[in-house]
Amino acid sequence: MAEAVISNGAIPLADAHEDTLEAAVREHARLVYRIAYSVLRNHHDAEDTTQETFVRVLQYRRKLEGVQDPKTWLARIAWRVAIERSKRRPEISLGESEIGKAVGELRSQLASAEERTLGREMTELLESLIAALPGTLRDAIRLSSVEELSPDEIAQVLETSESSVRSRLFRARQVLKQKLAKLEGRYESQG
Amino acid sequence: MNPRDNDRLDQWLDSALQQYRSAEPRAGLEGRILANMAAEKQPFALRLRWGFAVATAAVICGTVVFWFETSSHVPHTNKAVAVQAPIEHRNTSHLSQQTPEHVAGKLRMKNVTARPRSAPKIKAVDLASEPRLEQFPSPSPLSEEEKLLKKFVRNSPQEAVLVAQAQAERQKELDRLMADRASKSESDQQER
Repeated sequence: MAEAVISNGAIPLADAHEDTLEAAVREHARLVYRIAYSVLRNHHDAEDTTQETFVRVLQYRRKLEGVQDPKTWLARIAWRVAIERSKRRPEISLGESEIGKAVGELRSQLASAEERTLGREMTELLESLIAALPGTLRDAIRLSSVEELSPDEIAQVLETSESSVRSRLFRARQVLKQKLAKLEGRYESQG
Repeated sequence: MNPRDNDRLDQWLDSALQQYRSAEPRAGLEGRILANMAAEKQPFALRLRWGFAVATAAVICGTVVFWFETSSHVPHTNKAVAVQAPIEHRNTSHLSQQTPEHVAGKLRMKNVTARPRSAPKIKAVDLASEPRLEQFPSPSPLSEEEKLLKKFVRNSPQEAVLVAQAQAERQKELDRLMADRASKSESDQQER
């Protein structure tokens, strides 16, 4: 629970809550947004989730003062709000032609040493591959895409150990590479 | 997958995940959040106040209902008696031909069936509002003779005591005479 990290401190004054809350928004709004985006992959949904996260924090603003690590506390709330929202959304699956186009792009990028830019189809293919990963691997790789979070902080959000997070990230990358190689081989044989 | 392909894919994945994580919010995110929170705070306080108002109203309503229920509970029986009386009168002609147990049973049945649901509550409240009398049966007003006697006793208590004693002695004599007569008539009858 998010409340588990709250220490038993004295209840501060209402004005102090406002200041703490505003400081938290200014300092961590971007982090909350990126966590939401890592799950939802949509700017509009990510902003809505960021707003909802801070509205929830507003309800618990008395506790914010006593929180030991506000960054991780906020990250955990944002993660939960984003997961809740993602469950309400329908899953988007890629069509065969889009996968074909993405794999063609991948092959050309792998062949050349030029700057690699992810096109729309490539991004969607990567999203769908990550979404298809087992839950623990998917969560780890999604949170690792948030620059502000260290493996230790990811571990705190996911309520696991840092070594477990590192292991999950390694396995996730392995699975992704295998799937990409499989797709490349399949479309190579077709082409 | 050969090691060369593995390296290529590794490099590609690094680059792809690097781009994958580049999510920048629209400018002014913090300002929008703070504005939203300010807007959210007011209805929250308002909702809290409404919650208190509704809860208070509910408690008051509950207390009033409870008070009515408890106060109407005792006079309910009084009302039942008042309703039963005409039924008993109506059935007296039949009662003379039936056994007391039978009649009691029938009356009980009628008490149950004849009890109306909503109307008696008003009666019950009326009965409850009447003051409870300390003496049963309630004292009836004094007659003219009693009033005069009361006045006489209050004005001349010594004479009243003498009169009362004289009356008591006279009453005793009368009783004795009556007893003598009765015993005489009994002995005459026995002689006959």
